[in-house]
Amino acid sequence: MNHAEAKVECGIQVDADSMLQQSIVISAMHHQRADEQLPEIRGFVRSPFNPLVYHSVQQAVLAAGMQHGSWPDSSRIGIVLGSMFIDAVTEEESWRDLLQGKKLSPIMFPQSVPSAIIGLLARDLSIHGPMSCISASQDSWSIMLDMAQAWIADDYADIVVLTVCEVPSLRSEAWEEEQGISHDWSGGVWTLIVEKPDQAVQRGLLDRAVTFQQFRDRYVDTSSPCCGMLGSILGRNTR
Amino acid sequence: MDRTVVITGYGVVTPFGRGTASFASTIFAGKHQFRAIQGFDVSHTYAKRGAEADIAGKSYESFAKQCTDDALLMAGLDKRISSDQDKLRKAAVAVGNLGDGIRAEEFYRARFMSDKHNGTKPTGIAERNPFAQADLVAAYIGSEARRLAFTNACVASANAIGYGFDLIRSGRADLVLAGGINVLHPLVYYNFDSSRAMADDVVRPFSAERTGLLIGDGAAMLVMESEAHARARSAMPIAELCGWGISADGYHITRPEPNGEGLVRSMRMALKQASCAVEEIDYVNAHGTGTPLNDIAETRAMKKMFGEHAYHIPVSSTKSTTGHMLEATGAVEAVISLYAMERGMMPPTANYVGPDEELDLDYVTEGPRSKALHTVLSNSCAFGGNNCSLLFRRRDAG
Repeated sequence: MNHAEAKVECGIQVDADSMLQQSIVISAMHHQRADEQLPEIRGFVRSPFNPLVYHSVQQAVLAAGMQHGSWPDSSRIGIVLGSMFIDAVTEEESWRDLLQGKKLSPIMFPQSVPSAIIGLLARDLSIHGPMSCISASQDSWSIMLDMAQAWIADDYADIVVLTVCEVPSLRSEAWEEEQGISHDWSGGVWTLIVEKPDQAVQRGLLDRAVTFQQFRDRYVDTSSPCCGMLGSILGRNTR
Repeated sequence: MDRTVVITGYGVVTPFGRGTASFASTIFAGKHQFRAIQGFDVSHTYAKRGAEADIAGKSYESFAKQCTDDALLMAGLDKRISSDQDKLRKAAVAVGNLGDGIRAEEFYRARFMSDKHNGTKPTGIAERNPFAQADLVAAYIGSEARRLAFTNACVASANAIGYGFDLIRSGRADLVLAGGINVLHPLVYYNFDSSRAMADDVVRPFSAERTGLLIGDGAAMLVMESEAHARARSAMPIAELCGWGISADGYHITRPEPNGEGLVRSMRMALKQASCAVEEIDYVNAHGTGTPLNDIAETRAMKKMFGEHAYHIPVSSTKSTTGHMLEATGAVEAVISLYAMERGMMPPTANYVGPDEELDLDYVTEGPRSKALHTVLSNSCAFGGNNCSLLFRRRDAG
């Protein structure tokens, strides 16, 4: 690979040598809207939240040139799920059952807990390093990116998978009404693979990599408070 | 600048009430708080018991404010004084929780049964958002800094404390308020009931005849700061948080990895960070849920981590008295660990009826035990195989 080769990513021209000088980069990404077709996951029903997370992380890891068991050291791979409203659709469905006098199905419990889907991904992708789930109403992407950067800088991990997912729900709608903002959005998921550039270059990913600043400039619209932690980076409407 | 992370204050609510005044006669005396559930209807559930705090008007908001008030008071921070306001304005806030579900039923009943709705918007759902608790605490102390909730179930508040450690250690914050909240509410109880994970009568961690966990109310907030920050305002550190660890089992969505490999990784990370030898560990406050699978996996993890020394480290599970406080449990057990260090007294594992296969560590079953505690480890584990370990060192006066 020619490191000096100029690359165009997200409309921003970047020199690969300057990319190598970054402390960390985003080496692969995947994103998907919630209204697009999704494969089902066994054990997760009636809500698109967990299938979205599962599918997107799988696709991003694949785009980063990895698959199950192929990490250099699985205990050095971290993962973080960010979601402002978490899986409020499962909560709605559970209350719907309860209010209709039904007993809760045991299948609804694990999927209501954010760490469960990350645990399934950890099993299927052989991720054994740090793992976390967060919810924030502001600075969401900064918090996520800073966490990945800190984990790598503090030597907790070599690669960090960041995934942010939001699906519209009665709860998100109520919050947005309270804030006086639009709740006309479809939801979705966005997954980033974060690592040191010298590591990304070994897998031939540097020419597709973006810096944090490029990611923020290109995708994160802080002027729009809609769509939970996603910000407005995944399309509005089409609910 | 000294980036050593110290704890200078804490506030706690357990099923026994607010504060630590009752600790000696309850948690540290091996008395449990498991009673028939009073707060909501359990006529259709298999399980009937839990550890509810007898506190009027309990809510995530009231627990968060009570713990924050008590933590700030202990730390010598007063939000009415302008110099402290300036410090609190820059304090980061991290709160482990999955949202207040106490009033969720009203909201969903109104939304799903539109004839009862009468055109008025149902309320009571805003506090169900996890981030709302972090925003609430930040607003309460006047913080304009970063605030977030951790939502990774039963490690959430331990993770919040670990996050605070990282912020302070790296110089991204000098002062952090971190902890967690759990107030029993119907949906979480019914969910646990659906999985048949709850005990019939009491919680018996590491014991024969253990049948599962019971859930309890709880909350705790800790004031964490850099040693230099604490020293500059003449605050007395209670203890040092010298390391923490977090890991993924990569095994199952609900069951722990049977050999505790994930928990070993989180304990190892904490000890490595603190340059702490296994022989230095004086006491382990275990996750100890009292479920058949957890207690074996955790025991195997400690044997793997500590080797032969595992048999010489006292281990107890205070969930035998408080129940499992879910997202708050890591923070409350951190406070119990700090209290144990301050008093030189280990809380027992209550309700123990006898040994079970492979469970052969020193589980402090005879009652409270006196011992000078310099280094204490507190473990938490969660759904999805998420593990978190917090390592505290005593700060001797002077």
